[in-house]
Amino acid sequence: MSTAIRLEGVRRSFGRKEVLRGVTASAETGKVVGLLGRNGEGKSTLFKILLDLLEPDAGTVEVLGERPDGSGRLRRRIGYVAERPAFHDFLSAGEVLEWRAKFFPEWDAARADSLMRRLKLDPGTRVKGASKGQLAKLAWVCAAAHDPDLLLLDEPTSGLDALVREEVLGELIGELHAGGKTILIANHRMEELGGILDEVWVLSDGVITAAVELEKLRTEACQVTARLHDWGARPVVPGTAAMPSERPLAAWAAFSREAADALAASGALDVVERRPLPLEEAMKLLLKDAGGNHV
Amino acid sequence: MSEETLPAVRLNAPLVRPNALVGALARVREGAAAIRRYAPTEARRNRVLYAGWPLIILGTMPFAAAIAVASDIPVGQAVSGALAAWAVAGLPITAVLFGAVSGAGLRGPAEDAEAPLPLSPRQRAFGALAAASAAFLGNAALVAALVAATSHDAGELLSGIASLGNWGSVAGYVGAMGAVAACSVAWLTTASFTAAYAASHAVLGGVAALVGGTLLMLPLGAGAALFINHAPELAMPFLAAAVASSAVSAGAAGLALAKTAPLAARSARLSWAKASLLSVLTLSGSLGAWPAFWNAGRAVKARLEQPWGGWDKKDSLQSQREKRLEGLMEGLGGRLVRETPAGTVVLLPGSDPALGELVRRGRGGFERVTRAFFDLDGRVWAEVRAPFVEGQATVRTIWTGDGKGPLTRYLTLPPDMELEVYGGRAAVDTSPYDYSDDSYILLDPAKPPLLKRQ
Repeated sequence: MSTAIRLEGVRRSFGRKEVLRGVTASAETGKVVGLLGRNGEGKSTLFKILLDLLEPDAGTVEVLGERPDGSGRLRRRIGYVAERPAFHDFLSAGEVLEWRAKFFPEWDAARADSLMRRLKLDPGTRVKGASKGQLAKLAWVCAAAHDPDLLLLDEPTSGLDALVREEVLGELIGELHAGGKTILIANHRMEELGGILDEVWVLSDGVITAAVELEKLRTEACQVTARLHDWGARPVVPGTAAMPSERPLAAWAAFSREAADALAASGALDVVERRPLPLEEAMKLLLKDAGGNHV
Repeated sequence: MSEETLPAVRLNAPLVRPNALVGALARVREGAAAIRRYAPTEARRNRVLYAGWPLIILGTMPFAAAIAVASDIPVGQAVSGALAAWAVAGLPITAVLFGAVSGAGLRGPAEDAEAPLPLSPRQRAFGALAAASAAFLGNAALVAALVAATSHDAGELLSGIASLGNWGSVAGYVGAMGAVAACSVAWLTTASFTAAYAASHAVLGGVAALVGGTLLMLPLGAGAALFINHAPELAMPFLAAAVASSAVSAGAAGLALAKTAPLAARSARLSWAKASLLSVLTLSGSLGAWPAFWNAGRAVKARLEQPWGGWDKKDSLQSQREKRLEGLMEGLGGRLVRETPAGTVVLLPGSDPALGELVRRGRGGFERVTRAFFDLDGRVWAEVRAPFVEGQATVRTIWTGDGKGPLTRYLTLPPDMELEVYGGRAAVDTSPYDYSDDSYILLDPAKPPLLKRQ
């Protein structure tokens, strides 16, 4: 299977602040990858680099087999939903679509119309007076109407109400996935994506600290409760994260069987209990402990 | 060196690979198409400015007329003045305004709205610049149409400004100044666009362009003034430098935009060295104008320092021409005698019929050749004064020849005019006795004599 996204040691600073400090990750074609990270961790910067909108200071970027070269040609094959979708405020939704169609040779007007109807978005809606939700819907239509090979979705459900969110996440992304599209999605409500993700990347402190296959996480993530031999000497094991506990017991989330085994074999504790961790909770813990132990 | 290590040489290797050339052409075509597709977006984004500006131009006409009525001056004169102001100052300011607003408007919200488009920063920038330039040209056309339609005086005024007095008589001057104006306006638009785009700020971009524009126009304007007053015959080399300087300016500003756009849009690291290089590139034509001006200044200074009597110097150009003229006249049967340090000459009658007519003996004495010179094309021009007759105005005629054959009569000067030859490719300046105004004769043997009073 080919690689849709390949990042190697990607660095990017803004002034003195280094936002990305050597991101390395890769996603295979056709996969749906969730990007977890706290606010300000560089998710949007990473998206912009993948979109060829920002130039990395260092490192290698390959998207759909091409190196972004600043020409923008790559974006013909990418659909993008920004965290805060922006459109020219002098246009209506229908005009936005007509305008975009001029720039994308593969633009499918019928598909755009169909998406508009499906998302119940009136083409006459003026951008200037549109709600956040309407703008998010329009962004979705724009991102999908030219049948892109890669979708970069930066908080794509922000502003959408619960019903539409379900429609978008449950159906639209599912359909795109089924069509063989590669999707990289950043979403605060990652638990909503549990059913569709193939893999999760955790972006923390400017690097991808974890790249976990979701199926593995679903089947292997567990909570390990143990009695420490020395309360002051907690073992630090990659692929685990400390959980709240009450003395004399200590608890960890282990994101893989190997991590749980390694924790048990650390010699610093006696395992009392090992029970499966629900996926949503595992993902929350992954994000929460993103800056801690690398998976 | 052993035989194995000798480098292989392909004598028939092409300098440019055909495939690379085809690819480059395809990219150029693709880029041009993208610019064409994008330009309407820019036109729509700034539609209020682009559509409203012509209304402002039109609005100044009745405003000028109203001021004229209130101030008791002719309405036509006021409207002409307003149009001249638009032509000289308004249009350059329009160029700066359109460029700066367009450049800054391409950043910020527009950048976010257009981020997903498959366009390079260069295509966006040049698409927007094309729209701003087209809007500017629309306004320039409007001013030109108003000048043509509303007032003959305005046309006169503009042509007077364009020719800057005596310079209208220098062949190629108007064309050269037109080229300088076009290139300067192109520079103003591009430079203000580039600066505003890089700074994401219209005012900063506009101010930067105005400063750069001053750097560009100051040496050209000062050089022009020098030549107008002192040495029109040296104008052409300076004009050529002015055209080159302004053209290089415009081209360099375009190149700077091409280099700046991707750096700014993709927020690439920009070192001070690179930023300085781009600034110098934008201003290269302006900076280049200064050495041209310096050179012109030196040439004019040398010309001014050359004493009138310098004709006598063996090595002076004018002296050599005088000798040629003298030799020519002698060859034709006449004799040239320098009468005063100002170069007045007397031509004695000779055997050639044309010269005989030219220097025929009149009732009051010899006709005199009061001025004679070679122009830069090697053509002989001579003013001949008929003998003085009591109670009659002195008749002066201008004669010309190719320097190889006899002279022919070209023009009879009006009686109130005295010829003053300043030299130049085809310029003979005259001034009336009272010196209240100037006029000149365009000396072009291919055309009928044109006497122009100012």
